[in-house]
Amino acid sequence: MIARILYEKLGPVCFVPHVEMPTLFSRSMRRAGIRQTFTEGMSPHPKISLGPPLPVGVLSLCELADIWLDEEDLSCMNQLNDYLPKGLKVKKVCSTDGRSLSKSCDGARYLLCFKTKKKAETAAAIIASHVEKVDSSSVENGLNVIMLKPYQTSPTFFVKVLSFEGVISSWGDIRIVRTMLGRWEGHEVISLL
Amino acid sequence: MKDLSFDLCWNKQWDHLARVRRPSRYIGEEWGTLKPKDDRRDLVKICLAYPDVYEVGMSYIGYQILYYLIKSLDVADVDRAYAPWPDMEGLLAQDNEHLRSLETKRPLRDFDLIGFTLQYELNATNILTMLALSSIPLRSEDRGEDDPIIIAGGPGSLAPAPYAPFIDVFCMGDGEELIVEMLSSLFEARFLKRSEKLQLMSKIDGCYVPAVAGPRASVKRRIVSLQDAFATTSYLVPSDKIVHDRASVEVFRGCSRGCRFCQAGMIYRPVRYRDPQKVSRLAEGIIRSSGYEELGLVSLSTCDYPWLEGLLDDLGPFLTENRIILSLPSLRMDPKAIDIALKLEGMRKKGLTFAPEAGTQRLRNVINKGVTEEDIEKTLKAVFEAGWNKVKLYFMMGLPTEGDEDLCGIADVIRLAYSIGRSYNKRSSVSASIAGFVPKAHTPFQWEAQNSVEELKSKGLWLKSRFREKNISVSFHEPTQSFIEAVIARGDERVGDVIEKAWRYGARFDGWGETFDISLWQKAFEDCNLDPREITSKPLSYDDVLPWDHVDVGVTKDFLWCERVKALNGELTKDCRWNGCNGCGLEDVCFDARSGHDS
Repeated sequence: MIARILYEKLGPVCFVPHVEMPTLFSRSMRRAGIRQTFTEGMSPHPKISLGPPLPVGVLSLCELADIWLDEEDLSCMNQLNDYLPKGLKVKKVCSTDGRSLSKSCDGARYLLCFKTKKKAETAAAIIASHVEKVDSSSVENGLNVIMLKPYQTSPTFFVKVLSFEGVISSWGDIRIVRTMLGRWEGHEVISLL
Repeated sequence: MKDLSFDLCWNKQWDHLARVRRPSRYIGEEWGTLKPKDDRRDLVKICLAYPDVYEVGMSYIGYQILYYLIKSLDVADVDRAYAPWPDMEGLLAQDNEHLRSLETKRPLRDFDLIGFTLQYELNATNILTMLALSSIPLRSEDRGEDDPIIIAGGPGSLAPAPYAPFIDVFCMGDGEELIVEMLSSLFEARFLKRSEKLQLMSKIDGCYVPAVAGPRASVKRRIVSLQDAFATTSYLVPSDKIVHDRASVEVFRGCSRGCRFCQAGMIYRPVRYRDPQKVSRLAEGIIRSSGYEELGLVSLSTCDYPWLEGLLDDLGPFLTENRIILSLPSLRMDPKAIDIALKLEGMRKKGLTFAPEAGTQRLRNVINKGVTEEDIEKTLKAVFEAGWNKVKLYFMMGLPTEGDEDLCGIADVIRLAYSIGRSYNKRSSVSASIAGFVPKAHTPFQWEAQNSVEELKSKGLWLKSRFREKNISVSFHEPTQSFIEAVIARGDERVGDVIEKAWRYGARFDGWGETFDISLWQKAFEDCNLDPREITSKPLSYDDVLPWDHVDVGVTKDFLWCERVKALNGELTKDCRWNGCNGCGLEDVCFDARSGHDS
């Protein structure tokens, strides 16, 4: 069966590259005694399909992954949190019939936080024309931004354009959090789980 | 304003992480770390510091063992630190931030002890970086009551002269018992003055405290029995890729093959086996606790483990059931050993690596490699026949007595591998890596001269030029790096000053091609008025006093000299495990070496 998980990636663990997540999950699952399905062929590896790439240094409340299991039911996944490194936490698990994440996920919402309110306002004006939606957030000096096609677009874009425009000098001046990943329904991004 | 339920980390540390290459090097929080013992303020706090980047340091099994060993003691607590890459070093220096430990993020200078391991000569300058970033005086003599005591172990400590100005206490040999004695004694002595603590440490067997015992005072290497040594099924698992990314279990320590250039083969004697049932139990436990997908059975030559086949049979079902692949590092070119390795699924995934070391039988006899022309050919045939299409070969150039025909021999072996490979598979490829010979302390070749940088360079270029084929790649170690490695490996007290000067000129990560800069070292040699070729290029004689003569590693100087004489005559010395005792000096402690072969 395939388990679709929604997990958060908070704190310094966000500096672990996206491509390392399958290895990290499969090691954690082996520790938890959860049996995974392996690919066929010359070098079998655990079958895991990740959601849209998350750049190094970006926090997330809503990462997605499909994990193929050699288990009867999903309850085994409940223990996984006890075996994950600090900062990673599975928040929801459901089974999926196979429609891939890449076909199901077409929108992402980000929280961009700056050191001052003024920076946030300047940034909002600059990125407005590049994204689907931007509005100020209830978080101090924060902006909510919606970008479509998360497999093709990346929040590194914000850092590039804002550095170019002189609003920030580097990644150190901005915090980015992916707050929602899922289906774009014309006005909001809706969670898949 | 709404408060987030999580921290956005508006702090300096995060700014640094956001601005460096591979920030995961600095985050810690690996699976397997144990809670700090914060409730015990009286404990001796030690930071295990590795003078290279995280990916390299995390691959070192020694710190896996020492970490859990120290955690298990009720007199001490332990944390870890690795050398920051120059980008991070720059940020820390610019912001006047101290280097911090990985887990508790405590400045290194707040520890009671900082323990370095001297695994590789070209890490020397990184030790100074780590001290400087901690505002700890570089030189032992300048440290005061508030500074941590700097200790060092590993192969480098057995030839300590170049490091002596910077290290307060050298720990000779196996650390498992020594570190416990040291920490216990420091716990008892926690209210004493620094000088009194150093006095106490100087009394521990295997500890050499230059400031107390004086320069070149006698000291003897510690040797533990692997059967009784601390072993654990706990394991630190990094969250990002490291160099040796697998769970490792030591199957034996030491090697008596007797290769005459090899320092590890001399300084870790005698061979001490771990009981196969224990290996099996540890391996299963470590896989369960770490979740690793790959198990490495490690030693200096794992195919020499007498119970290897039985062990593999025993582990087989567990490994298959849990989809664990197995790897054996350092395969010998020995057809029997290859048979075993070829059966392993884990070995299938990677190219295989072999070390014929020299190109002709004559020179292989000089270095006592014990591998014949026939072994090489049979091994290569077996490998390609079994379906591999890639092998990597390691050689050395500049070995004692080497002549033109020996270099031609290297090219011949590469060509032989290529043609055997091609006869099985048209796409077969061979890569060869050629290192310059570096004479090392406590080996039969410690008296030998190293080739000049120019000689090594022209030999390397010549070998490279022999091959035009797309599927043969030949690379050679940067000769200037091999040269500095030899200066430190064979250096005396004067070399410490050079290391410090070179570091002040900016030398960092000298083992890395992208950061190494020979011109910084050349300036340092000039400033110190030292001709480094005096250290590297001069053959030494039996009567010469060597800077490491005061360190008794167990293997006697007479044995090493006899081996050198035999080398020059092209005579072999057989492995004492299958033949008679060679009288290397460790007769009193090597009983369990033979046990596996007698049974």
